[in-house]
Amino acid sequence: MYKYDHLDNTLVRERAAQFRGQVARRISGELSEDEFKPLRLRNGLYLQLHSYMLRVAIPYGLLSSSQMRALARIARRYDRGYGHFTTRQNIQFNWVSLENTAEILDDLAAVEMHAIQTSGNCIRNTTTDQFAGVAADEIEDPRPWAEIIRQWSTLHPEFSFLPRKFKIAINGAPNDRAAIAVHDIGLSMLRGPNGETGFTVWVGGGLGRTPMLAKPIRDFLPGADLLSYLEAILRVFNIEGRRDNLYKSRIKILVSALGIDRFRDLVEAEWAHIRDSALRLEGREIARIRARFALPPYDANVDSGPFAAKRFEDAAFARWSAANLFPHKQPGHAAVTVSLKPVGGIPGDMTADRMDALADLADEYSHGEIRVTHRQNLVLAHVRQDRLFDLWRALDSLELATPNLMRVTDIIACPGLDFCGLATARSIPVAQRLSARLAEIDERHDLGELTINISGCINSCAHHHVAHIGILGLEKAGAESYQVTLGGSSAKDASIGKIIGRGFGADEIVAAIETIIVTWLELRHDGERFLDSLRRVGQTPFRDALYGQDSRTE
Amino acid sequence: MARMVITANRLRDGAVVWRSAAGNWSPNITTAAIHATGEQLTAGLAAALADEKSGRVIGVHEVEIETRGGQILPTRLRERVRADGPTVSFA
Ligand code: SF4
Repeated sequence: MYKYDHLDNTLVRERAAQFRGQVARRISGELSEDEFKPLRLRNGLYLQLHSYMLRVAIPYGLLSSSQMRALARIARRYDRGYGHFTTRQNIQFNWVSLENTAEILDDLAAVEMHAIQTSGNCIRNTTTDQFAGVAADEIEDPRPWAEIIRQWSTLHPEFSFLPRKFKIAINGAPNDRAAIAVHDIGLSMLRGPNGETGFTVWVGGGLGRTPMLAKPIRDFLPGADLLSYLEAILRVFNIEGRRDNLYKSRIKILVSALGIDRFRDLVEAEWAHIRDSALRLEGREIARIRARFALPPYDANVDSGPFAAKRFEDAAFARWSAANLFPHKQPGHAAVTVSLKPVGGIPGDMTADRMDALADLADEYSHGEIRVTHRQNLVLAHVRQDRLFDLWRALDSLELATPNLMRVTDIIACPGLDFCGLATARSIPVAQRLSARLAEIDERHDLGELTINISGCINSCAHHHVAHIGILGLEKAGAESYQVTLGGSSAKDASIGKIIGRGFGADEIVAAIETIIVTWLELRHDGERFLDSLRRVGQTPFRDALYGQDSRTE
Repeated sequence: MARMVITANRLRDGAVVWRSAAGNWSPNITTAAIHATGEQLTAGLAAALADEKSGRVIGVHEVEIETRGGQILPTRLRERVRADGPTVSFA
């Protein structure tokens, strides 16, 4: 794992000290809210419906067990005993008070963590594949590159006041597990003609009010040029991006207004000036960062016999193994997804006690390392196959072993109107009711891979546009109304879902989703995924089932 | 005019508070002063904004309500959630 050096340490400690002073000045009345708000947002502190909320950065979703314990302590001491993992691979504390925030930042700094750039119009946490470094299908570990981007973008003076927030995702395998198509910049790694590391660069993806998939701007960017090229893109965006209209300020709008070719010309012209500047990454520097992501020492002689035997003996273990294990590049090992989606539970929430227990399991089974996924689950990435059964039993006793990765109960949901100041409808109770209902149907019919994401407003934090079934909560005539989109995907076959028809009330939405699934089961080919059936038959059967055939002419 | 109460979040901890006739801010909506006329509301808001300026509260705004069985109920769901807390238990 990346260890802070002296510079990193000084920076986060100074930042906490500065914020302590700013809070004191706010409370004494020296700073007005108008003056203070940008300062608190720079430290990840939002005012939500019931309280302040602190968003803590987890760079590329990677945590040590001691960091997880620190988060548990914070949850207990300053919050109500739990935290909420987000689709940005970060964690949010929903109930913090302004007076305690500086102390929390101190506690975070002590374990090399912070809340810098988790808000505001700056470059946010770079996200990546939760299986980075261990995935069997990987070209190269993207985390050193994500760390290089983190160092470059942290407090970057030129990019502190961008037209709008900016999100970068990086994926190191041919299969996209980082949703790069819906990011401001998406980087997908590949090898050049001489085996050198490079990136295909995508730009202008995003969700929200105007969902768009990213467009390719460069087929092959040599690794050494990564930062200069990113800087060129950001510079063009910073100068040309719109600042007059919040809804038109993201880079996706600029790219589509100029057209990708014109945008590329501007970037390349800018790049020509800075390509050979100090931003050029030296091999030595890349190697230095890479060394910090060295994989733990694996045992080359793990006997996978017991694992196979246990799967044969224990159906529940077999089911969990089929759903929540991921192939590891090291024979005899597996990457384990720890589900934060118990049936009927709140997606992404975790109690302090479970955080502590999981930290212990990480020490025992996975070299003390934990990852946060953009699906709001956790991963133990280095587990020996002969210990999987013991780990599963331990997870099961903590209610962290729901066998549902990428299945219908693995719902992504934002905090919605129960917490979020921007929300137009609730997401969590809908997720809970759907999960309880759909678990039964999945049990009977084995629905396979089927993703459902629920956002509580058009800001789309739960990425509902790229779910196989997306749900968007709106407010219509004072009541909650849920709009359904079908056919989204954030994987390699990325697509934006299409709205199926008029919205459903809070008391109708679960039945509507059930109707969609029942309709699908009738036309499903053997073992087919929902998304593939939908792509085969189109929306009409689903629309007919929901609204009746008469609605076709409406 | 629809009847209104005045609300904000407490500066120090962000808690939802409601303004009483005596000018206190309480987490309990039942103590909120109900403004039935435009003048009352304007006067209430002016006093509330003065509290915002002095740093007691932030995000002052008025909320439309109805009363049922002596209870004060905001008409919009957002404000009902603010008054009653999240509709879900946590974690
Ligand atoms: S999608 Fe909307 S309601 Fe949900 S967290 Fe984002 S801003 Fe809040």
